[in-house]
Amino acid sequence: MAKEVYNEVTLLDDQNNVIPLDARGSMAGDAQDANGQNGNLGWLTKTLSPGAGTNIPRRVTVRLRYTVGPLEKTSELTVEPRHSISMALEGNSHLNGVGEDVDGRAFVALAIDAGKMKSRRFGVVAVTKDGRELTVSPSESGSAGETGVSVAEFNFGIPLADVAKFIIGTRPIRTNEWKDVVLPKN
Amino acid sequence: MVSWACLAAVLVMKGVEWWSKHEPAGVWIPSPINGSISGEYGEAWLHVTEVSQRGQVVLMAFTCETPYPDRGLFVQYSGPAFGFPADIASAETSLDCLKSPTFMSGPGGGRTLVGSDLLKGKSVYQIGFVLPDAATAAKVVEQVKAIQLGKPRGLDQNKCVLDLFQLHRRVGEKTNGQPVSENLTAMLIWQPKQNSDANSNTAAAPNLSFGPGVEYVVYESKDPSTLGSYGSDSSTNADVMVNFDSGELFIGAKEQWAVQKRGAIGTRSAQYNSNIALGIGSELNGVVGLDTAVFPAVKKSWDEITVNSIVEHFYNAQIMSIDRYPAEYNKPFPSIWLFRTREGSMGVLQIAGFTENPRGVKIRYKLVQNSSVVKNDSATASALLSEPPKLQFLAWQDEWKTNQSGAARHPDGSPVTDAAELKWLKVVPSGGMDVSSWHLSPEPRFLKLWFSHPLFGQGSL
Repeated sequence: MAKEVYNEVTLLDDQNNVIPLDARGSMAGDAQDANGQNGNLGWLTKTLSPGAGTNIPRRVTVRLRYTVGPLEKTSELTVEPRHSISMALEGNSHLNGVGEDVDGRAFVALAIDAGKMKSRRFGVVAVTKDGRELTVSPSESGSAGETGVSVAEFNFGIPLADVAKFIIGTRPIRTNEWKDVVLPKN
Repeated sequence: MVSWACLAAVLVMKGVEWWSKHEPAGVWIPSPINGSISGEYGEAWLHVTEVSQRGQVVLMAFTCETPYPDRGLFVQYSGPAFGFPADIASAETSLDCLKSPTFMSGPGGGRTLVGSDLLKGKSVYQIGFVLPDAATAAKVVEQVKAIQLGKPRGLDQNKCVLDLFQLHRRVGEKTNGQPVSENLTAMLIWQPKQNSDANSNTAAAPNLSFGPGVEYVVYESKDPSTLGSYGSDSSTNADVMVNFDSGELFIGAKEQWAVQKRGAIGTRSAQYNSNIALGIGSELNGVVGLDTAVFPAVKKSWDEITVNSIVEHFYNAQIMSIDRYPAEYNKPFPSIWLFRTREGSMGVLQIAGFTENPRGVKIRYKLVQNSSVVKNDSATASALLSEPPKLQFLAWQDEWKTNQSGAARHPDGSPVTDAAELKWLKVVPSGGMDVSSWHLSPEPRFLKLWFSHPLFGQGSL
């Protein structure tokens, strides 16, 4: 089963209003697959700034939006030389392009209608000719809001010639909230 | 810094090797137990509440809470037979189980002197183990106190074996000078439902299968950016290791590179803040499992190796600190190896060949996995998907830098004190932010959050 590939953390105050992040909204993350050392749990860590100085709430609601599980509503894209491919995707989105970047790495780019994809996220799996399945998180550009078109580019670290096919699909965005979370005291 | 770390690691490994040859012969010594079950969640909740000794008998009391009353715990005790008074059982008739060791494998291993080796239907049990003498029993009491007493453990089908104690003693040397040891190991095994039957004496294997095959070409020289965060000075002629438990890659010291192109399994033991690994190195010149049992699979091809053959082979394996298979001059060296790490990962590894330009070694391995978890089985997949994530810990980054896990809190504000949770905080990477170059005023304070979910992982980035 494919691992979770999208996550977003938001902090809310006691009025359920989003707390704007400090440090220009900077956020860092790390992740680890389940193994015998970490309780056989998959882990996701986030580092963000809820404020500075005395302007830090004592309690917050932590909201995590994430995707997990297999891709749904999938389409397969077989890699063949000298074939121009056009593909309509879920939510008025489209396959924007397939190819190799200047470093010789295969990529798939999708044009996504943000307005129609508020509750689902695209994912792409590259199936190599020797049977491996590679997943990556996309780099995104364009619309960051809830309307307009954004481009998600999935860059895989292998040459296009090593790819047998791409599987393009979506996952539902899930949300979990933890209320009344106590921020550690100084 | 990296060179010093590598030197330290080599010295530690040499020290372990030296100690394995020079520890006193015939004396039972506690072996490291890395907490075979570290979590406290599962199908059965086990809690060792008392440990004591009466002469050469170690007595333990533990509670076992489970919503599955039809399932039970097997008591296993393996090791060499030794003498004890014939009436030793008469003083312990109130026990639910009293065992002396045998070399028999699987649940039921050991001779049952009192009660039954299948424990079920109660919430409190008292069991006993006969040790060679009172002094050895005292060592066991201390080990159980340190490892298990007062530490709840959660058992399920994936984490079904709880090591209670383990001792080893050196009994001699092979003709090549390698030490020969034997072990005394006691464990509790949580049985899957289908075989938790008083009439069943067979090991109940969960629904196991091979996970995906992993292949690497371990090059003599590799761009460090693709492998890890070590400095470039350590990447030339690097010795690359695969951690079977986590899948991580490590770069070792360049001095360890095999000029003669030999394959080797090495480990960086957990007790030295490291883990099981695969290494290619002339220093090892063969296959060496450190904290890993290894076994050559001769006369079998990659595809002929079955999950059952691995599980059966290692079911009662003694995990030694060093398990060495040196290459012999002018003799074919096995390419396929079965292994089981102390942490419980099992699998098969193949040294698949060599490359010349650039110079490298091709390896592949696959791990035994519980297919009910890893396969896209609809029921399991559905259960995993519906399982909500957990917000486990929080910490301020500035406090984390100085106080590490001591800075971590649960979401309700309580400090983290559980040993298993502290271990998680130690091994789970948490990244961090540094915006000092922005000279922001007031300086923002960063909060670290740890979330867990069975399906979270490296694809999350």
